[in-house]
Amino acid sequence: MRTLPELILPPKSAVIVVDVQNDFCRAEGALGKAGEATAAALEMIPNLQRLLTAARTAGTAVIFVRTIHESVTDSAAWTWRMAGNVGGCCRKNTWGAEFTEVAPLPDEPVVIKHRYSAFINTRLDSVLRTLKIENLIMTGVSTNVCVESTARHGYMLDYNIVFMSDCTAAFSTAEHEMALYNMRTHFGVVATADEVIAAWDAVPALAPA
Amino acid sequence: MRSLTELVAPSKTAILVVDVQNDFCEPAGAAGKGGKDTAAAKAMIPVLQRFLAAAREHGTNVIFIQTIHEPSTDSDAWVGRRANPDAKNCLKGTWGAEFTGIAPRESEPVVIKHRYSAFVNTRLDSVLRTLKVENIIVLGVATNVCVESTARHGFMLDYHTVFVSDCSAAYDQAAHDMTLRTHQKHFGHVVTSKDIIDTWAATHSVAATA
Repeated sequence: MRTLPELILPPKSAVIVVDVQNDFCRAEGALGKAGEATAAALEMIPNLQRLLTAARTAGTAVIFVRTIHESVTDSAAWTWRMAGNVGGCCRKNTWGAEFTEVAPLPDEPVVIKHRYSAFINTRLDSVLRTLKIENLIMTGVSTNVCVESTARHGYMLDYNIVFMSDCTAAFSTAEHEMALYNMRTHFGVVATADEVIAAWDAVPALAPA
Repeated sequence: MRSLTELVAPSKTAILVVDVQNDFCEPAGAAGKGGKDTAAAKAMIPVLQRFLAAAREHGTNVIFIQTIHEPSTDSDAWVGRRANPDAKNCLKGTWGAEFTGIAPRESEPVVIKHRYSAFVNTRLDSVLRTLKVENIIVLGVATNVCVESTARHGFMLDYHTVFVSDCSAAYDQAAHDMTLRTHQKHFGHVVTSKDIIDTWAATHSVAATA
């Protein structure tokens, strides 16, 4: 079984930032206006910001995943179950689709997705193979929907998964905790920002001299 | 929004029977011997048998998903996660990999998988497209692992996805319940086998009298 220090080694690991966008994180966003509790999302963002700063210092890749919805990807199966409740979520070129208090640096890839998993009909697998990434450090919202769907998918495509308990957020604690249980039991390792940052700090040989 | 009648219409629907295999369902199988409580899986099987009998009577497609593990698919990521990488299940050619209490008929496809989701590097999507299937009915074991991973994946490939609560089983009731909640909220419908059997029966009688 691999240990956390092996699973976060900079050249083979990437932080995946899933859907940290206004419609999912802010009370004035689509989900907040539909009655979902977005407080946990805003509360975890300082942890995520610390993790991203440390990742960049350690030379770990950071990849931003962004949901964009538009009519050409609004299939019957995708839209039928929403019944109009969140039909206005992350529409192309809207404020709701913008990132919330995090932003990619000029050299950091952004992967656009149209479903929950960031691997479904996107370029994510190609980007990861190009960068020779073996380990995914999963962050973002919602813990049990887009982050969990992406982590499940990534593990099944043979990436090792480190799932961040305090850089992810759901709309309820029960959903958040059950996602962590599933990850820990069947998909990978669950860790905190402090644990991963400490592990990066312990790899001086790989940090920029 | 599609009605249940549309979501289970036999000509456009397939039932995916996920991993109902000895290593996941029998106390003497790998999960049971590894300390997992297989009682819910065993208890669900008579319900599943009745459901499959009704499905066949109404002409709904039944597809069997079977996990098979062998060295050529045991990647580092797949086995390296476990505390004991030597713990094996559903090995090719073993009793543990055989179906439990159910069996495919001659005309019913079996799809072999090597990961949790039945869509990852398998022929399942090709089979469903060939059959012109738009709706999938997912069930089996374990609710929160292989059935949920398959249900999530299927929905994201644009299949309307119905989860059958009483034909699925986990090793932990709370995990089972949370899967159903997540599915209902974000991925599709959660219904009982009786809901679907009643819908088939009602549609059939309507068609017969028309």
